[in-house]
Amino acid sequence: MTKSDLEQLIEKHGNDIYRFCFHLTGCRYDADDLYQDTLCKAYEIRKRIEQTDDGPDLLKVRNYCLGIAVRLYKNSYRKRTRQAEESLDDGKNLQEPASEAMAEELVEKKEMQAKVRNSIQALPLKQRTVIYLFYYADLPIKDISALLRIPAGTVKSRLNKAKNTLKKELEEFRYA
Amino acid sequence: MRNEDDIIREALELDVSVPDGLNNRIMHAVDRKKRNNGFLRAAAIVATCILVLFGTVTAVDAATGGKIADYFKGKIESFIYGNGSHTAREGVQKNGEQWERVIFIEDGIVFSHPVSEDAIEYNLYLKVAGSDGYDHFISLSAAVEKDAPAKELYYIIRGDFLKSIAGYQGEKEKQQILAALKEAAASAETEAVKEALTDVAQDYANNRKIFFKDWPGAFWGEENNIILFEDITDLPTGDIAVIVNPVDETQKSWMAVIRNDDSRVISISRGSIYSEEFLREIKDNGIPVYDLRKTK
Repeated sequence: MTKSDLEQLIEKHGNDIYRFCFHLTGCRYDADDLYQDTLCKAYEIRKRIEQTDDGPDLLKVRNYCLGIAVRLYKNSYRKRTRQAEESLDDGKNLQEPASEAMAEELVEKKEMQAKVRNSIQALPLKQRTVIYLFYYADLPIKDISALLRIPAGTVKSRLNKAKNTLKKELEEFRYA
Repeated sequence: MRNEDDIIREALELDVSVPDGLNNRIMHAVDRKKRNNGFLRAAAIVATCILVLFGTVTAVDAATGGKIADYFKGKIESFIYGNGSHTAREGVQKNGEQWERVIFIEDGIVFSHPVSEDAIEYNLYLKVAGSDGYDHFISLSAAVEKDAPAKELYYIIRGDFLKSIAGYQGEKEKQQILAALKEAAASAETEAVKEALTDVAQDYANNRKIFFKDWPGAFWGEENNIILFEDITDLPTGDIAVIVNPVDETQKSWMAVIRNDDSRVISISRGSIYSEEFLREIKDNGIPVYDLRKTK
């Protein structure tokens, strides 16, 4: 991967990688650090990134970077006690409603999403990571297995455990 | 009503972007690192070899005669990648440094438990009095598909367990770990686990830290370098070979091994083989292939 490939990666998938870092850390300040460390690490170990005739496959490199982010986060970030300086649910995702009825529906939906995000944040790191890779990064089980270097069965089991927990909490939200 | 999958997906959609200036800082940091990077030369050699592997450059080190492939012949029966630990851990401060402590449950026995409908995890917890005056809790863990053949169970336990203890080379720790492994082997309920633990103990005692069968070396760093206990000065720098793994028939894996500048370090790249065409392409590019499937 050349410097220009890195620039292309940032242009095409930078926000994706950044949002993934944001999900992992739950805080913009840590997400900035993790994002920077991830891309620097990717560049440092660029010799391992597969090449095609047209340069690296940027989607594969993006996935590779998500793996790096997980490993860096596990190694250095998860024990930080820094409090979230900017919550994932500070309202910035809310859009202007078109009507009162729609507004109510939208608010309910956003509340539900915030609760789901909080529930995901409360999951054990290993389950949380699999949830982000599966639902946010949209990776198939076999790619998650390769990325995290764990058997596919373990990915499935972590995913199932996480989904079961979330499902129970979703039901509670619905009937609350 | 929307299903859980959709709700989770929607909840994870975020309207945040990389802050202004952060990408520029990264490009500056990369530039700085590039200037200061002392081992660029070695990286260039490795990168060239990888490029060769993927068919972008053909004028290569096939000229080196593939001695590295010969080096591996007879030394590897298969290779397994470690899958890390599945146990709970917590961060602790020791002497001002951040350490990771394994949550201690029980030591000295191997026990297994299902982690999902189709996987079983095998664990061995060891409590070792370290020469630094602290107790170390070592967690050995391996997850295996429920219907995995005994051979795969053997290799995975052997590989993953060995990988976890390879770093403990102090005499005092080593004796305790060896004693615990032997005790665990004696009480193992299945033959494959018993054999794996016996062989782990033997490899560990003989400093055969690598989990490739009968191959003397140790993984270092992020599993991309292997330090050998043997001198490989005779092998040409930059020599490359691809080794095909026979253990997992559904997703056959390959490992490209590249002789580094250092006479005792080999770099590896790895991936999966989804078609025989991939192998043919490698061969067409003059890369020697050591196909372990054919040795079975």
